[in-house]
Amino acid sequence: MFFAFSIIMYFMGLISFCMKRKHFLLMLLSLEFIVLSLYLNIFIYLSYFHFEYYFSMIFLTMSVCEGALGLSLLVSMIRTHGNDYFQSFNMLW
Amino acid sequence: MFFSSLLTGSLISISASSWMGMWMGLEINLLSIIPLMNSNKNLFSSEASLKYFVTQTLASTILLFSIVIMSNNIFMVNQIKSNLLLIFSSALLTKIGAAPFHFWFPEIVEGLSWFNCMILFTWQKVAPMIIMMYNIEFSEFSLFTVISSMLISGVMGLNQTSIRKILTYSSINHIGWMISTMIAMETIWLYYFLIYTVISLNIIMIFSILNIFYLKQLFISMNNNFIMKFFFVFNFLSLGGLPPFMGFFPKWMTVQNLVESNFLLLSLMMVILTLTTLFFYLRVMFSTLVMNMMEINYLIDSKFNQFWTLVSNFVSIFGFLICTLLFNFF
Repeated sequence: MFFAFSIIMYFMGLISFCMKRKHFLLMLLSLEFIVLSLYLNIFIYLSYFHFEYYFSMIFLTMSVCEGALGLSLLVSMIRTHGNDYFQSFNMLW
Repeated sequence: MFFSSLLTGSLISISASSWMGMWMGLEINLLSIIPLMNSNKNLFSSEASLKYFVTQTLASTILLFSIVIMSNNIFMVNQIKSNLLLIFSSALLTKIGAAPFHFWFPEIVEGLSWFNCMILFTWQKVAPMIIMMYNIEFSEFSLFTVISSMLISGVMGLNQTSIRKILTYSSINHIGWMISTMIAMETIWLYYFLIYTVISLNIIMIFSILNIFYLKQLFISMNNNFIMKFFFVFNFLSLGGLPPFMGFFPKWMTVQNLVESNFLLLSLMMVILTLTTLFFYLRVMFSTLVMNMMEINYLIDSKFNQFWTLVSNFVSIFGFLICTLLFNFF
């Protein structure tokens, strides 16, 4: 039951990631939501091994690093482009 | 500093004993290439690094999803496992830029310096491809990936004037060849990748010394230094896979092994579709060789660091002949 819930949560996060149209920060938020659903899934998996949750902390650390990288890229984008709108990404095509 | 952790991340990913270790190596790789690509002072590189981050983290989360579900192997029927391996290999193909998932690749390469392009074309492909080699299961999906890589790189490279985009589409083509080597015999993947890396390094080294990004900068570029001009042209011919040069060797091995494994139609399609990439390499070569305008206001004459570029280009181009000669002595 929790397994199905985490899969639904993952797909909802994925849809929300792909459908954000205006701000980049919302995309980063839905990325964190996806990571949270995967964290729940790892919890479920590790609970089959007599509740050995040590690895989930390592996973959480790596995912938080990734989220922090996203935020620092957001800051870099605001320094160069001035805002975080998607429509201001037109330099490259 | 970030360069060493880039190398370390890929090596962790290759030599991991569990899927989580492999994922962590990919994350370390991404974390260390983003500061290399990013620059606060340049619009192109900040946008390129942002888009690269978005696509790569999406691929990482899809990878993690398939890993975690495959680990909960209470539900493992063979059909579910092959579908999950499809999701797994789709995520890895997105990471390297193979063709159904290649749409991020030209835009991002357009915004990078030549050094970062070189990393993106060569080293970033090592870890996902080796992981794919450990886990691939031959299916119609891998054939579809190979053929669509060839098609898309051939057709979409035809209308490009930016040299970075031309090299991107040639990279997608070579990714198609490399995936097809995983079907037949995996040691050929190593040869293909090494030779492609050497040729790419030579080409990108010449471009970065001359600081050239577009086709119209080529025909005034090496007029005073005809050895470098010839080596440049030979490198492009080698990249296209023509016989006296080293680029022919991996394609020959690939086609031979595919034919011995009875993939005749696949090898025929691959050879035919590579000809369009050869066409746009020839266009680049004509831009350097043939056109010589005498009334140019801005003559540029770059000094090459003669010795190492000569040695490296010589090895890359004539290495094939020397290899076949060496067989006489051993």
